[in-house]
Amino acid sequence: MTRRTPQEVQELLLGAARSTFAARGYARSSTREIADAAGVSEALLFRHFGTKANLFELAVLRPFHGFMDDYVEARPDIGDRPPPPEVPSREYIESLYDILTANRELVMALLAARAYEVDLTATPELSDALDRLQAVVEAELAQRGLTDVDVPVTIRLTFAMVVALAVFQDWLFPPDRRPARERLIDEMVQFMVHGLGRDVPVPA
Amino acid sequence: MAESAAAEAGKAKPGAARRGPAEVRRLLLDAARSLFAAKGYAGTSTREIALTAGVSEALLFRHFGTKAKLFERAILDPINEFVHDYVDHWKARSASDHTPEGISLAFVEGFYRLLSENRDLVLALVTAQAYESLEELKEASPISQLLDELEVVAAGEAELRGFTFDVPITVRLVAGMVMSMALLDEWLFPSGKRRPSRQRITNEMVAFMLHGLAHRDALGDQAGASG
Repeated sequence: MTRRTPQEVQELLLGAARSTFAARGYARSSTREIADAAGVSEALLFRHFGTKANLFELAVLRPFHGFMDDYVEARPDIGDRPPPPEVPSREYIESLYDILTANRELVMALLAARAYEVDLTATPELSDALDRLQAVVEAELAQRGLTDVDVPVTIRLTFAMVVALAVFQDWLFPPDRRPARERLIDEMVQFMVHGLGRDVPVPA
Repeated sequence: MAESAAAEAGKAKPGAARRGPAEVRRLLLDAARSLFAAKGYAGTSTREIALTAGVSEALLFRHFGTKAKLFERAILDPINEFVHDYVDHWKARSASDHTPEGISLAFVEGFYRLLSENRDLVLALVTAQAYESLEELKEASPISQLLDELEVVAAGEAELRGFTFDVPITVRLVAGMVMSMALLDEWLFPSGKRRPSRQRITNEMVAFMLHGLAHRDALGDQAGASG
């Protein structure tokens, strides 16, 4: 067997952990099984990740942190002539929806594990990533004259809405009435843009 | 306090006294709710539920048929009841207390509270559907059926006020948003960080929902003007 760098080993383990956890949930996946799937020893798994819970956090949460970081990083400065609000809203919702849909089983596994299978302490990473959006969103809303918005809460609302449609879709829609991705994204964008545009009063 | 309450309950549990079917059902559902919430579907046995409820396991099966059915009722009954009450209340509304704010607030506040209080139970359902081979639970999308009932309210309001939104999708957007806020709570608001009050979260959901549904055309104009 060729010698692998610590980084390679870590990647192998994270990949194996992701697919194992996604398929069987947290409680039914053993570290031995994950190590086997990765082709490394269980001892090495523990040396890299300490505990199964920690491996789980890193394997399952990583795609989201990466996404949120990239998104905040890459979000263009809207400058003096902001694009219509649909543009940044759509970009955000599309990317988030697609990554959540692709990782649907992992989100389920994380929710399930948190519920009662094991005593995982809640990590602040997701909330921290959402907080990093706050400054960007506040500046953008102010520029559009929309100041009547509770930004920290709204960022979480929007995130929760996208999670619902990506992860809980089977619950929300009957099997024969599941709208296409484009349709869902359009509705979410509309809902978000208008949900934030509070300068127009709601008709009584 | 909890201990003395438990002692009271223990004393009050009359092995011999005769209980009506409704009472037996209620005892079983209460026991099922607390056990499923604490230990999940797989980790809970019908024997344990019967024991906690103070009834025989045979009676449990006579009332609910299977463990899966009992599980389903334990989770869905409270949600069912909330949705029915909400829709009935809307149908019986008087013109004076009938504002979009009032209607939105009643739904968001009640649904958010209900799901937050039953969070572990709903998560037990998520887990069971994902990892147990429970055909009964996999096929049904009972929550989506409940949401159908809410479409009556959404469609009625849209017509009354001239709102133009896609009723079935919008009902699910709103319900899904509230559901995720409750289920993802510890990710969104981890302990150790300052947490907005329930009232503040509810208010923002209502504002988001109201404006998200109303005046779509008006905002289209505004976007054009600023772009």
